[in-house]
Amino acid sequence: MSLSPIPCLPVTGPLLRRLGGVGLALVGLAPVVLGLPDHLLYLATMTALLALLAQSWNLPAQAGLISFGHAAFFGVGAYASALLSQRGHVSPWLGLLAAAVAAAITGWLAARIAGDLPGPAFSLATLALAEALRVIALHWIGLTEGASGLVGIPGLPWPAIIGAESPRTARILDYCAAAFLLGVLYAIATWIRRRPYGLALEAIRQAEGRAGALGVNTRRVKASVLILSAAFSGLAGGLYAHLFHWLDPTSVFGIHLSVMPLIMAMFGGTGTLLGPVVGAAVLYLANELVFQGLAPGAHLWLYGAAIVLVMVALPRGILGWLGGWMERGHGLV
Amino acid sequence: MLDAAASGLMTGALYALLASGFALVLSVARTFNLAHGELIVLGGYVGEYLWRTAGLSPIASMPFAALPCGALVLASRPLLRRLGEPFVLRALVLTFGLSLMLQGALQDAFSADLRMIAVPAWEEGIGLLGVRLPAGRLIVAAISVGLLLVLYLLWTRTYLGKSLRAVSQDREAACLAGISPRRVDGIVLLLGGLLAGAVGPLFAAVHTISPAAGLGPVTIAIVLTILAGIGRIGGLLVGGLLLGLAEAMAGWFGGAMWHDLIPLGLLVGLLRWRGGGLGSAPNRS
Repeated sequence: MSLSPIPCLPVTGPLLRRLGGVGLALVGLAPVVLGLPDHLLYLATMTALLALLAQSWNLPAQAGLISFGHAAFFGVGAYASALLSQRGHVSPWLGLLAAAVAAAITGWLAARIAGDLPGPAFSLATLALAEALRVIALHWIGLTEGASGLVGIPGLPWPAIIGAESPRTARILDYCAAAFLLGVLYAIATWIRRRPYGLALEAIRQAEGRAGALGVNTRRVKASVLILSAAFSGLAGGLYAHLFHWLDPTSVFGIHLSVMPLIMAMFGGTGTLLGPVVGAAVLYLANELVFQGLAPGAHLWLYGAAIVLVMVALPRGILGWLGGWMERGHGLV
Repeated sequence: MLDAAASGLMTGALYALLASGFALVLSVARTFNLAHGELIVLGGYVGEYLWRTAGLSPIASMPFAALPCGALVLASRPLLRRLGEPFVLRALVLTFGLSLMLQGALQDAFSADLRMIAVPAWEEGIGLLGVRLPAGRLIVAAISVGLLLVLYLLWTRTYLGKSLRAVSQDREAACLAGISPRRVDGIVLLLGGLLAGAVGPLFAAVHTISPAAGLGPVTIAIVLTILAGIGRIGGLLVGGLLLGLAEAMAGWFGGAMWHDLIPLGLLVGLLRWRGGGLGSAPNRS
């Protein structure tokens, strides 16, 4: 019996599938081309960052590993990059690299601790891991400054040659960095999809025992996909630290960072490649642009209601639903 | 140190009670209710409100706190019923979403401030067997043990308890014996909600609450449920006392960080040690 709440693989209609990569690139470039005002550019950067996190959450989910603790990787990446560049005076670029490595090690640890646990137990163990790291960050004051957090984290040092003197250009470049990382991860996810590795992930999700019997080294595949996912979540965390210049245990290890990628990916359509990106954009932008105006601080409501809606009414997410709707003959394709 | 140990044991009794509703729902209805912690916090807020406005003591406000929580659980039952397979994981994610909605509602209604029910008479120390304890802890522990005893009798000595046990052991066989698992699910969910709400004022009397405070109690509930095993109420009490003692000792020797890490570490350890049973819980249908 499969224990994952994700339905089977082919969930998007042909149009969506064909448009996936190209459309993403076009939409990704739009904020730069359109010259959005600062406020909207900030929203675009945050959307890309959250989409990166949601997309990385989605990788292990393809193998049925529903993580409740991606904040662990995000937070380790954020602290690693922030501490290295602030205390160690290392370039933030190297800091980002260190963020990926540190988060990957955390991912390896998570795989060692929880990788072979059955569905719900895996989810709960990852939740406990993230919460334990938050508690440690809160109390290990010598390293992390505890609850007062780190302030004055340097931003990304764009070389002056591309005209990064003006804060505006730097902000655009910051956005490009987030969008670039998202693009890289999207490409990796697409490339994996049709390889034996991606099929192994799918096989593990559907029937882990049988996948093992067919010669898939399930333990190794699960560990590697967790490590890959953790590395990109760590990059998102590192980027967050350099974009916002401050962090504290709750802002980078908080449970909302575990919840949001899960909700965004499931809302968009788990098991699809575009789903996490669409989910992140729809939910985050709906929250910031619509709901904040109507009812400030209602974001918990929105995210909670989104996940309830998906679980009860749209088990394949909005893309899965759209795909099914088009297959029934409503679409243009 | 003896004081710390005794106070840890008292807290442990409360832990057992706050885990009981969660454990019942998991054993019988196969539902991981991740919103259990938020229900306790909601009960705590109701207790705090009644204490602030009407001067009602936490004990007297328990029934008032239980009612809205029971109603909420019943209201969410149609959602649970609509979930497909695999039920266990889907229910986990669904209740996760419900807990977020409840947290948002709590934040809107009561703001994010930390609150507590500070009953002056409960702060007084009472000497007992050579250790001094705040009276409140003793009262809370006594009520916890009392309620657990009632629950134990309900579980082992009544017809309702028998049907609950039957469904938790084998749904199909229970069906054959003329017990409707669907109805029993409803009863146990209601019971779990009522218990969570009733614990709320007690929890708020010994612990600060905030809209986000639900994660602590639900972690404890999961730890104790796995430690005790499915459907063992006596095990909950033993596990709760041990956990309270371990936390108190870790806090005494190692400081606040270790105090907070103990339940999380135990959770991971227990999932590794006995978690195998969770995923392979028998199918619902």
